[in-house]
Amino acid sequence: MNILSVDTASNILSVSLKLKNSEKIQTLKVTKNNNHLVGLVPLIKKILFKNNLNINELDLIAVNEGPGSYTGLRIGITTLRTIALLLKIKIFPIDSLMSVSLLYKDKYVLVKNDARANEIYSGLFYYDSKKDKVETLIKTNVFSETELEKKLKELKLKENIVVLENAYPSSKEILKLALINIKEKRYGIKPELILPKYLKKSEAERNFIKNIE
Amino acid sequence: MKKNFYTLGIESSCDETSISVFKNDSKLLSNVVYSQIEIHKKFGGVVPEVASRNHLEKINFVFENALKKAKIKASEISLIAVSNTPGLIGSLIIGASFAKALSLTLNIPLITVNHIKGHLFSSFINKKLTEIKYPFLGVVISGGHTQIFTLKSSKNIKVIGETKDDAIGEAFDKVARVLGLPYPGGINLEKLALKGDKNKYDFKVGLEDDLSTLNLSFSGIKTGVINRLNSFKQKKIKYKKEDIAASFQECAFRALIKKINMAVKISKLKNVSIGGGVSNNMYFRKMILKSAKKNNYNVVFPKRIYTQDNAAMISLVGYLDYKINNRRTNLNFDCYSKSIKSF
Repeated sequence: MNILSVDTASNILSVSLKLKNSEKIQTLKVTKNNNHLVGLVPLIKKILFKNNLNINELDLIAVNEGPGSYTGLRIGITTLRTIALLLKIKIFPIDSLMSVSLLYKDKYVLVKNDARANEIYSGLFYYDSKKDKVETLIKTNVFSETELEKKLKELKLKENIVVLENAYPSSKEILKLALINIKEKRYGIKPELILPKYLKKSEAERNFIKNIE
Repeated sequence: MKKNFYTLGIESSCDETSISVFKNDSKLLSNVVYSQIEIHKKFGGVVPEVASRNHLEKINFVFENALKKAKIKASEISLIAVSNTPGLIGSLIIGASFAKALSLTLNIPLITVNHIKGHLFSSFINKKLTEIKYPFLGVVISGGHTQIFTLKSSKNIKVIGETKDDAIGEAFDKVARVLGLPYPGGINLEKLALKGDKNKYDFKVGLEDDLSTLNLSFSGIKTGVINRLNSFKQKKIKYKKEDIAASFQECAFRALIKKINMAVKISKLKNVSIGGGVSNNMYFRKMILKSAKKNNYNVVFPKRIYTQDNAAMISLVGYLDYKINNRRTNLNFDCYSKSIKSF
């Protein structure tokens, strides 16, 4: 399969491509300008052009679904969802925290990203490199510091945990996690079903609910 | 047989997600509008984060419906026109991302459109392009904008007068809130005013009588209404909300029409096209038509459905800019919350 992946969840924009007959994952990044609306489509064009690939030769698209920058996620998801819809191919929503945990092999990785208002986006994962599988010990969600500590204690882990703070994947990890899923015969979802993983209601809605209560 | 040229218009600058299909140079095939007005009602106004989330959720559905109504396939689209300024940045970004993906995947050209320019041409939706006679005066009045323009051609457009602070529609919404009317305030205020005495009170719009400028200032009139209501309360004077609404509306429009009349005199242009949400107000339409007759100029309005934000006007202007002005946009374009000066 020709697979394109995109990450727009942080201030670094990246796109990756894996071609049918190759094991290699190519990645292009934009680090200077964090305006993903400006950068994303030209970067996709560039990686396709470099590989002499027509956009309609893509078989699957993987995209960071979050948690992450709301605006960034919306740009990535709206753009890639539309491409997938037109090409009539599936889209793979990839969890931001689970994919960044792939940076460490055979270790418990706890990701803790700022979610503002004294909350954190967090998840705990273990990437078993021999089996090429990711185990989820704490599913990605939004927590207070005390809630998270409680969850960790309940797990009673004996080994050391790698803690990643405010860590985001690149499109490379997004693609890797998609490949792990594909090996287990999961091929993504219909593009119209994808939504950003916000995990939090908007501030206005939270205030509205508070006022009712 | 000549191949048809289809322009797809995309508009998402505030709380309306809209997509249209425009055939060749004058036929609107579809204009689907999904309005979030009900969603924002409980917040008393448009919440940008909520608007962005809803644009993302609805835009595919709006797109599919616009194509279905126009009876065309995505592969038949010839040009994408998308509004990229002014507006809520998080909202504009959804339409822009959608448009870029379409242009890239379908391998067709894209053109960005200034939303204000859309309103300036909204009176000509579904009319022959030859009916647009330059030069003319354009007026855009809405919740976000109050501007008077001269249009010498479809690209030679200049602002000659504007509000220095609040837009006229914003003043309506604020006064409506003071009167305890539900969102959307402007429309409810207009309804209430029908039952009131328009000559009961006098409210001043800033710069109204300043003959040296076509600008206005609407921020003070809200304070004027609040002060009047407070003094009534203190002195225990009874008043009717209807009279406040009718008088405020009368005074706001009187000031605006004074400036439009002045603009007609200065520019010597006899044709005025007025668009934007506030031009939906029937009392205003009657009032300016009367004044136009007296002062010997013509006024045209959009059909009332095209006074709200819509993609029909975006596809029309996109077509004009592409075919007549030969303008092209690269896929690295950005969105801007404040209107960029070039049209």
